[in-house]
Amino acid sequence: MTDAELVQQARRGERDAIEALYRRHAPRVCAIVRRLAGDDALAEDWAQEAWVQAIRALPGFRGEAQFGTWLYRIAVNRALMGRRSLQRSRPRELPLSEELSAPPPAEGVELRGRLEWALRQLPEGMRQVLVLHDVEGYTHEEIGRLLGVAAGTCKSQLFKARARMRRLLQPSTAVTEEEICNTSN
Amino acid sequence: MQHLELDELARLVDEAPTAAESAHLAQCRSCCAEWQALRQQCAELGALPDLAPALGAWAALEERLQAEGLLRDPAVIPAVFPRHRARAPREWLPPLLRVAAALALFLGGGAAGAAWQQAQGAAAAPTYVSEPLVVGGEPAVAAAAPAASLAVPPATEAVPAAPAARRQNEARLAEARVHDTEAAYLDALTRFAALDDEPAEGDALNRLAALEGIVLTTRAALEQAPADPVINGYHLAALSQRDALLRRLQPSRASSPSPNESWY
Repeated sequence: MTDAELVQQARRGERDAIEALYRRHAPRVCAIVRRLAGDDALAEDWAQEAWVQAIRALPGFRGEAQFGTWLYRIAVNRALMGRRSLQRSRPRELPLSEELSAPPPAEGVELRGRLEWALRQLPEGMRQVLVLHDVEGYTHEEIGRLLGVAAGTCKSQLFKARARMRRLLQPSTAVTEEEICNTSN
Repeated sequence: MQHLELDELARLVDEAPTAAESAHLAQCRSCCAEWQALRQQCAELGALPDLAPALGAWAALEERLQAEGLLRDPAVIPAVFPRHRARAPREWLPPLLRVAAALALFLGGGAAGAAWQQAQGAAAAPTYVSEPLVVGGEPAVAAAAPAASLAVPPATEAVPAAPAARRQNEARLAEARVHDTEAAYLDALTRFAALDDEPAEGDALNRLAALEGIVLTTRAALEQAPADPVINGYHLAALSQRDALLRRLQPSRASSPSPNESWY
């Protein structure tokens, strides 16, 4: 059954259709939210919020975009909103504790694992831009709109994020604590 | 030799190098290797796999959707309407569904009243008939007047019958009335649920037409029983809903979408 057919049923609240959509799209939603959140527990809550928000909004979904595209945008928005509200509630706490919390993976860890680890080490603004651009394929203009910044700012952040990521993944080069503390978004 | 900064090399993943950058890359193996590594890094990021949600995530979501009234179990009332939509408690039923439910109760009440009247032995009273009555094993009356139509029922001749046969007929009549009323109820709910799911203006116009139909129906009923407080109540409820919808439609036609409207 196609997404469009499932969506028609899901709009009427049919459990089986909603579950089928969930099984089909949950991994992507989970990946987006988890990478943007940088925190698994938060990501789980925000992913659920995104789903609830999407199911609520289904009657207004006109099918002009693919259901997946529409859903993933909701997930992105939910994760970004979550980070913003979290920053408002504890603005001075996040950057340092987050970046120093996870030890670097061992040399033998597969590349994917090291990439995921390195993403979590990035300052929040850099991580968001990098995930949205290099992982999710958003344009600078789209990211600028989502984050409320100019496309040029987004580009600049992206290049810094790639460079930081590269340093983090180089075995011989360690990012010093001083460098982390001096990081600004 | 002045090497290219890592940020600059990161830019060159997407953008074409300047002449100076090209010249440098052509002769600097170190910068060229870093550039290649950055390109590889971007490719690997783009190929990161999706992540499986936590165990129990669907169960948690399902529970949440259930609690918010966003899930419907198809086994309960097939193709009728979501039993618990996501609304504030005071708006558990949307206004139109409330009108539909009220109308269904009205119809059901009428049917029950008619059956009760017959059960009281009002032999000379007019009867609503929806399927053949059986007297002594023979069809006595064949007519089909749907309970939901609220049409003035045709008076039928009272059929003398033994008390046992009459009670049997009355029971069958009451059962038929319940079936008719149930069908009308489900039909009304289906129609209103379908309309309620569509927020577009065109559907609002459909709602308006449906409400207008209810107003006309209750008005016809009032002609038969002008002082009946229950029918008056339903009539006024339908009128008020229709007028409220009319008021909502007026500004929505005049206004344009807000630029701050959410993009999804």
